[in-house]
Amino acid sequence: VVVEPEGSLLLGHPSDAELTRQLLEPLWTGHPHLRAMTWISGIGTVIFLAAITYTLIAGIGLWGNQIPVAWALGIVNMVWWIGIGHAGTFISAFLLLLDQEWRSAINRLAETMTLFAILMAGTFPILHMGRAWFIYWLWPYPATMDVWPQFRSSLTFDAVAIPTYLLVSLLFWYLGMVPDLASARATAPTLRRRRIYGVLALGWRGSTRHWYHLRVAQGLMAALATPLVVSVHTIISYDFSIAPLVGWHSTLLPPEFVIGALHSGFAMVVLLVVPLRGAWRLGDVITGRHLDALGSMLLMLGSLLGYCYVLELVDVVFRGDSIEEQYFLHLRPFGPYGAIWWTMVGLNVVLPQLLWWQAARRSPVVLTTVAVAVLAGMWLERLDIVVAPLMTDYLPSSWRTYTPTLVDAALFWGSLSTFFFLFLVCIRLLPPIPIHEVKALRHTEEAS
Amino acid sequence: VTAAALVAEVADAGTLVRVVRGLRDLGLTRLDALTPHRVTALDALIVPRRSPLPGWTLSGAIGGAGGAWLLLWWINVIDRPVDVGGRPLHAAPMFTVVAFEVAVLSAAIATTIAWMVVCGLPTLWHPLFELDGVERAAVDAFFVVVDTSDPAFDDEAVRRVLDAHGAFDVRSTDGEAA
Repeated sequence: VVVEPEGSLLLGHPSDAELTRQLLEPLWTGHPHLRAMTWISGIGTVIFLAAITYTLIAGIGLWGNQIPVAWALGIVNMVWWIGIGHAGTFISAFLLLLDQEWRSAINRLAETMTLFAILMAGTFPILHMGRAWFIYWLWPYPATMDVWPQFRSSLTFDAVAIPTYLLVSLLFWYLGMVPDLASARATAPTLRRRRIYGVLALGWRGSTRHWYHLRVAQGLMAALATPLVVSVHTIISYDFSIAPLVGWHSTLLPPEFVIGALHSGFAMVVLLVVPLRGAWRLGDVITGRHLDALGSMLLMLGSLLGYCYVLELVDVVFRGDSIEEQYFLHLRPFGPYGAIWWTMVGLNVVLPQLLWWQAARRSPVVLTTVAVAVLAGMWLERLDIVVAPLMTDYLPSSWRTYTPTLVDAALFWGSLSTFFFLFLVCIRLLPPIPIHEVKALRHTEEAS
Repeated sequence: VTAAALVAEVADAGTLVRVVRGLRDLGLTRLDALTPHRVTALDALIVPRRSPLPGWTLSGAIGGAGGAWLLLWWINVIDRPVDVGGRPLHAAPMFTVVAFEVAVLSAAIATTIAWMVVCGLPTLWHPLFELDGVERAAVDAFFVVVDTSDPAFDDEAVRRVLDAHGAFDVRSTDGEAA
């Protein structure tokens, strides 16, 4: 029995023309707060570009990684960003297949988030290679050197999975946007903009044939993107779980990575959707029921992650391997990164339990607070997974604690700024809410 | 619909479905409707056959997976075999991962291209765009389009059906006022 949450997905009785005008308003007139945010994040983008340039010129010796901690923030950020992207695909693809109508109003925002999150994720491994200009060595091209990538290594999987994920997300995002670009073409205030949106809309006429085949194409893309989401973070987890290192070598890692990815992704969706809903006064299109649904997802994913954390320890005790016990029962919770581990358990699992209360799920303040906590918690989890096992391997004489450098910090905060900058610019230029889906929703709600 | 066509606006989606049904009853098959959102009831009345897209998606997936597998096999087994501790050169479990990703990618690209071909997009100019107000089909207006080259087309009968459902602003694409 499916229990429908209380409340409607669309409040008031706006006409189609009113909906179009309201949902395209962000394209024609800017919002002072969003403009300020764009400028601030623009400054962060400059810092990001500067840190990238510095790294490319001077080399990755600028970063805090040092043997035995050969992987650190470069990988942490990559895993975290890719994970954030996953919620967008989950909302647009998986929930489409499940006919979850609440996804309609927020799926464009979530998909846009996915695109830029993948872009940020892709930056880090490229920099981490040291000589980023040889990136093409990762793909099989007919080289005169007669050297091919080693496809029995999980690192080459990433080089296939991440660009695939980016391209498929881009196509899916664009496909769903074509009818809205036609709406922008019809209502743009100037001829120049009508021309630009006209070209982007590809000549969409709203013909029944167009709609029918679009729905079929979206269904097919959703069916492709759903397993893709699961596969991408599974592949990312292979970077760790295939290695014979305590703390990495576990079959639990793939599902735990996917769950954690969705957890941080839904948190980012909340962090983007709730303030935009306020800024654009979209309370009647993104209603309490949407917040409720997002809150429920955070609660479920946080609890699932808690289950993974417990299962991990149960496995260790059950297997009785002394080196594993030393890591999981002593070094991880009480070692140099012990505080990080306890903090991330609190932020990822304990705090989201607040969302058992509907009032908390529907409160923008509580929901956003939990979302920020989860984002921080998931970043700390990635840090704990990547760095902690490397710091303390089998040979205590080679143990070494990891501390990030200023360049590491600039790259991380810079990537966050750049993400917000690109996102804000994108929603200023392209329709941020799938207008046609909201209209269809209005008509089905009226008919029922 | 590229030849001359009769275009009329109707009040809402429900009326549109009734009009199209009425026109179908006249034996017309070259019909179309322009709507600001998807109207599922129109699909069966207007789109004659099943979408060819799933076939293209499947071909894309099979082609992508097969091509990727072939490439990996040729690289790892034929062109440059590297013996890593005696592990098999044809490492099927590892090849599966890359083959799957490439399959998804090529299937997605095939689907998108096939969608554009089937819908005839991009078409930046279309005779329908010449009619004033047709762009409102992307905002809040519903139009029915009847191709006049349809063998069953009978101007009088069509207009009778349109009138019966209160269709207004009946025009034809060559710009003549109706």
